[in-house]
Formats: sequence, structure tokens, C-alpha cells
Amino acid sequence: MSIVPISNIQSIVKQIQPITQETDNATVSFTDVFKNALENVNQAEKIVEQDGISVATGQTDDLHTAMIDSAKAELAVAMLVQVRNKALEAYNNIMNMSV
Amino acid sequence: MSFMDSLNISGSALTAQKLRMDVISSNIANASTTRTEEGGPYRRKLVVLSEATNDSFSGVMNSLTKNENLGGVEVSAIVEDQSDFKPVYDPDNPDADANGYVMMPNVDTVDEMVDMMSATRSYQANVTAFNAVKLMATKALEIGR
Repeated sequence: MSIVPISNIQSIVKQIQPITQETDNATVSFTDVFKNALENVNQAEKIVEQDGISVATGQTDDLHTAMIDSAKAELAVAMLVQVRNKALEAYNNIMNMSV
Repeated sequence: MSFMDSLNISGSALTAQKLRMDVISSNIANASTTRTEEGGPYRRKLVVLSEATNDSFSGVMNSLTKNENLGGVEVSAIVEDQSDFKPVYDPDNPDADANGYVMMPNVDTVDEMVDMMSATRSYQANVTAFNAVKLMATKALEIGR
């Protein structure tokens, strides 16, 4: 009975290497983060819009839920604007760099 | 705990106090009701408030890892006040018994007014707490401006 030598392990290790490195360097681009934030704000705005319709047509039983949702949307927009401002500031700083 | 969750705590209290106010209004509205579906006069109703837990994923996670689960308050039940009805002598009333007494609801309007003030103040206090949390969030956005 002969034992087959484990010779192919190096090639397997080589295959694994790039994958692990990729996960180590896994970064989310700023565009994705911004898009995500934008999507959240959009969602909050939609909820507020729906609340407004519900309040106006008398379908809602509490007024405060609508107000709380509107406060949440307000905060989300303020947050997004701050992120945008910071990003633009950084961009402008780079653009104004004298070469 | 995110800022949005913090806002929900005050929100749950507002919902609870509003329901409490509805129950008080119902008590006052029925302060002299002598006929109900169950028969007999109206019984004063009371809300039972209990601590609510945050059942969202992050809420359960926080309760396991940091032993904190702040979910606000909720109305767990609306119970009836089992105190005695008040007999009032009014022989002309169609609901009067053989001796001319009518059993009136166990609602005391003065008590209800005090409860109403308490509910109103509690609602206001929770709106103030909500605004304070919102102000904190707004201030946080001013960091580094």
C-alpha cells in the first residue's frame, strides 16, 4: 500500500492567500457609505410623507408619532448635510493645494 | 443605543400617557352612566403601566452584552376599579331599585381631574426629554464645525 504524498498543498495555499488578503483590505468606498446614508434619509422622508397623509386624512391615532418621525428625518438630513460638508471641505482642500 | 432608539423611549411614554388620558376621558364621560353592556353602572377604568423592553436585534444584543435594555414604557392592561358603586336617592330614575336608590359609577370627578393633570404633566415632561435628546443629537453634529 502506498501513501500519496501531499504535494498539491502549496498550490492550495496560494489560492487561499489572495482571498484572505482581500478580506483584510476590504474597505467600503465613500460613495457606498454616502449612498447608504442617502437611502436612509430617503426612507425617513418617505415615512414622514406617509405620516403627513395619515394625519391629514385622520387615519392616525397619535399625533406625536408623526412628530417623532419628522424629528428623526430632520436629524438624518442634518447628519447627511454635515457629512457632505466635511467631504466637500476635504475635496476643496485638495483642489486648492498649490503644485 | 442609537439616538433614534433614545427618541423611541420618549415616544413610548407619549403613547402610554395618551392612552391613560383616553381612559381618564372615558371615566369622566361616563361619570353618571348607569347602564353598560355588562349590566349595572359604569366601572372606573385604570391603566397599568409596565416597563417595556426593546425587542429589536440591537436591543436584545445590548441586554445580553451590556446588560442594558431600555425600551421605555407600555400599557400592559386596562383594569377596572373594584371599589363600591355610590348609591344615590333618585326614585324617578328608571334604573332605581325598590327603595328608590340608583347605583352610580365609582368615578370621582375630582380624582379624575388630578389624574388628568398628572397625565398632562407627564406628557409634557416626556416631550421635554425628547427635545433634550434631539438637542444633544443636533449639538453632536456641530462637533468640529
